[in-house]
Amino acid sequence: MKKIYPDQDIDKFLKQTFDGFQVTPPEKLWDNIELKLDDSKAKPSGKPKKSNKGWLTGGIILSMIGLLILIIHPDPKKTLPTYQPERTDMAIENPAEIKISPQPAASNLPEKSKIEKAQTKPTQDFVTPRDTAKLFATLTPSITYTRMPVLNDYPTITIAGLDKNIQPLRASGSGGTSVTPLKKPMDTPRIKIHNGLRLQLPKFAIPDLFPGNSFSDRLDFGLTMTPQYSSRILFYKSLQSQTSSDIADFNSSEDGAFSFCSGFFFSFNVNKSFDIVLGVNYSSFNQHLSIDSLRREAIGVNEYLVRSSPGNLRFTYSSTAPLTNEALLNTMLTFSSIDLPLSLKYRMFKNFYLNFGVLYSRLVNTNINIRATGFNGNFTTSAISGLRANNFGLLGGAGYSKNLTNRLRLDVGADCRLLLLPINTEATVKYLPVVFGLNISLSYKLSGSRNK
Amino acid sequence: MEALVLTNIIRSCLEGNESARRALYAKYAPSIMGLCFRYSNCKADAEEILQESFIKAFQNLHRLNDPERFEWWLKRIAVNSAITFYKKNRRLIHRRDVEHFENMLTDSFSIDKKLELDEVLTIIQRLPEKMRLVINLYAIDGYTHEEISTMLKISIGTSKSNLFDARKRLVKELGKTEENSK
Repeated sequence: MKKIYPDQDIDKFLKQTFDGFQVTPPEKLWDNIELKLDDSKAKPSGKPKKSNKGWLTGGIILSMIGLLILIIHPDPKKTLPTYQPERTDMAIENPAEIKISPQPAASNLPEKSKIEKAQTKPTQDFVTPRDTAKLFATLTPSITYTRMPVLNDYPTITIAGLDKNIQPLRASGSGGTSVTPLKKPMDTPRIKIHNGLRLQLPKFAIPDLFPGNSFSDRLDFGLTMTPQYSSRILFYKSLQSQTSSDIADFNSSEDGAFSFCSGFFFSFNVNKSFDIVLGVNYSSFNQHLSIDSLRREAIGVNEYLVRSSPGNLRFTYSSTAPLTNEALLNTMLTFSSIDLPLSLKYRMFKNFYLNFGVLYSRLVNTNINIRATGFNGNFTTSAISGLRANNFGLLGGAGYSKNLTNRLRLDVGADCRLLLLPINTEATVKYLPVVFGLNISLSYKLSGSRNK
Repeated sequence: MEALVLTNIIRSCLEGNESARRALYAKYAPSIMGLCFRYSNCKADAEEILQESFIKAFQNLHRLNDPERFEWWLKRIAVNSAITFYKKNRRLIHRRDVEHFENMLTDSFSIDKKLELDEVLTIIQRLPEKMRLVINLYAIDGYTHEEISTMLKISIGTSKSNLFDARKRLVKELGKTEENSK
């Protein structure tokens, strides 16, 4: 070695050392290369062709079967109505007297206009209820030969095995296999087989349910989904402790929670500015409680959240470990209800609206889930109550509408619901739940067009 | 002139002329063999990589757009073949005694240069696989860390750290060789 090279120069040293570095390979190597090249030359010409032949034969057979099916079952739509003369049960007394008429009696013939109408009946764009019964499938095998010179120089064969047409939706699905002989750079030849399914909806149309009806022209049917945040406050004072600080303390121990509301609605367009909306929603209203039992008892809201009555089951905290005063409660209350909102939608401008109305809410279920830590260790428990209650509320909000098509409209808005929900405890306590929601609804105009 | 000859040879190869293929092999095999020696740690592996490289090159010769860049293209194939070989056999590779190959070197080198090459190559071949690949790719063949990370499917940081370790070890080993020669 001439010298020791510092770290920085090592790359330069290596580059210089190996510059023009050549080693004579042994003679036998070329023979091996030649042999392998000859082998690989023979291989690709054999395998893929053989495979393609098989698929081609299979495809041709499938096509023939398909053709046969089509010949045996011609399209019933193409057959035109034919005249069938009415049968008469006339008794023949003297066959010699019967005159054979070359034409049927004029009274037996259908009206000319009826025949013309039947023959020139245009193809329906929309499906009628009668059409829904006409679901049928056809076996339509087909072969597609695709050449893809950009991706590779090898042909792709696609064999679609089954085409299924569902008439009312004008939809079609197909399944098939594509065979691609691949020859990637620096790789040995191989075949890629891809099996797949495809669903196509070339034409989708919902029928005009009430054509030409002025009432239905004003009706919308819609679906709504509202992620919502709910919170409640204790507002009625008839507790053991009635001081404002205790009430405030109790209220501060409760947090709101996220939940959802979803359902459907009908909307009636009164005039250009007003819509009346009536809906049916399933709503969930959550509340998170964190208060120790000592403070709860001091205020007067003990473990019984709902006054027991014949209609209402009383639910209590149940646990495998006894609750202690020191135990910190971590409780989630869930109230589920069916709501019937009735509101007036006022369209301020073209796309903005205000919404205000009333709400009837039927409490259908409650659920309480407790997670607590105390001296006796951690525990989790839940209880379900069959609480039923009728409640009323107010609602209001604002939003933005966007017509997606002639029939479809998307509404996005924010709304607020104020429930007058009397949740009784052993002491008479009333809560005022407030629900804030982001309302997303999609409505479909049952008849006519929005862009009139 | 040389470029024209090369283009003609490649065209003949594409037409299936075996003597043209042999001529191409004879011209480039020694330098590719040198590259293979750097990337492998024994003669047998180097021969296998060389063989694989030429087979791939001849099979994909029709993809070569610019015949004048044949040597660069062939070297790239050889480097990729070496990496593939390393990936395929990484569990089987074990440290082997490095063979001295000064007798195999072409006559264009002086005896001193041959000895120096032999020593440096021995040190490189004794490096762990990843370090050897990274130092070859970065220091000698001029690939960037980004390219190396893609080729070896490692992070850029790992590539840099491998290079750092390889350099450190090379300096140390070269130092030892220096002391021994004194």
